[in-house]
Amino acid sequence: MRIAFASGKGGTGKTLLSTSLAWSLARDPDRVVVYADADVEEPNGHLFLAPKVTSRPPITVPLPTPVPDRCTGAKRCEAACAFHAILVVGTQVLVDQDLCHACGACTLVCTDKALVEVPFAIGALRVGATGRLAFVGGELDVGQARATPAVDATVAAAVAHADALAADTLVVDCPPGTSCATMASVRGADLVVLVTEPTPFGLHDLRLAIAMCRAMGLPVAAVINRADLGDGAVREALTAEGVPLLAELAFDRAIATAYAEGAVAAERSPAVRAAVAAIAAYAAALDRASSLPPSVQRSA
Amino acid sequence: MTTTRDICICVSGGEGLDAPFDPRFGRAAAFLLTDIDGTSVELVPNTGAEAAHGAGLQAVKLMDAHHVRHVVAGHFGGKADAGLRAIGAGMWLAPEGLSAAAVLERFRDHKLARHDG
Repeated sequence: MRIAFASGKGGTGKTLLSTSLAWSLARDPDRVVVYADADVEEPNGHLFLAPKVTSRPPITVPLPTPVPDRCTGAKRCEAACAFHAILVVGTQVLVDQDLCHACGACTLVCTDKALVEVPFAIGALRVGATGRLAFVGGELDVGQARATPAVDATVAAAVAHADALAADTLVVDCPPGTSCATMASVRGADLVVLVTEPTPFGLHDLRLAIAMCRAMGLPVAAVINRADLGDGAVREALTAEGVPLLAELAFDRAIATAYAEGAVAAERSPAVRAAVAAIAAYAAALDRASSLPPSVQRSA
Repeated sequence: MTTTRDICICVSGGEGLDAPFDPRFGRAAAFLLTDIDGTSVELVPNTGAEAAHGAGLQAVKLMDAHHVRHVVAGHFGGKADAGLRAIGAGMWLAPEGLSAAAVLERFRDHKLARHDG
């Protein structure tokens, strides 16, 4: 079972709830749980779960690299590049590495074999464990703009890790928004939990996030954080959209304090424990209802 | 081996040699292509100026298409520098606040500094 925490709006409590859920589930000795931090542009799950990191493998993208003396100047690569990252001058190929999306089209169309793909590091994984809870996090290098392949690599590594451990649950902490990187982080999830807040901004981005999940055919549910502040428009929108509301968390200074201290909120707050228990129960029901055997890997 | 319009002066718009010089190569509004005497002048819009990324390489592509041999700008970025080097174009630096005509005159009088990366 793969449960992704997304939000639309940032700062609503994705990490608060995903670390809390993973931490809570992993306390059950019969369960094998993997937590993945796919928010590669600002990963922070490790600050709360404090995993013992055992390896930091690089995240790479295959960048086209010219092979000397092979180019015949046909410019097929230049024409194939949708991102205008290639300029062929005579028989010299210039690749703008910042513009390149590593799609492979140029290498594919070159019949002179004048381009080879060379792995280029854009970030690194953080692989380890917090006690029994396995941890896989992705981190994009500062200055890098390629978040999507880094998210893809992080999720793939987490799924492989979960398979290797025969894990029953993979919890994915996703980036905010509805961009390509966010889509990459929720793709393949059995349930997307949208964490929102009862503000106009929260509502606006929640609608976008629901639309994204629906367009991707992903089951979606919601949690309202700081539910006692703001207005009732988010609740109404969830009802109108038919999105199940799994839990509401009232604003609690103790939760904010725990979070600021880098503690897993579920460790301190009964309300957070109740919220993640509700999420786990809903996920379990969804899993039972599914005809597929329980698995973290969902067929595309 | 020179074509008639082998000098490119980056400009921020306008027509002909009165156009104000624009020091930004990739982001200049247009390129004024001219011969050494300023008698044959063509204004080529910089279609890549509004690109989010990669304006430099797009501008180099334009230079290549027009067989430009010398480019005058205020500065050249790393990618523009590599691209212009590859197409064999000379890179020259002019100060801000001049007209294209004044830049051309300085070029003719060998008063422009060569950009050498």
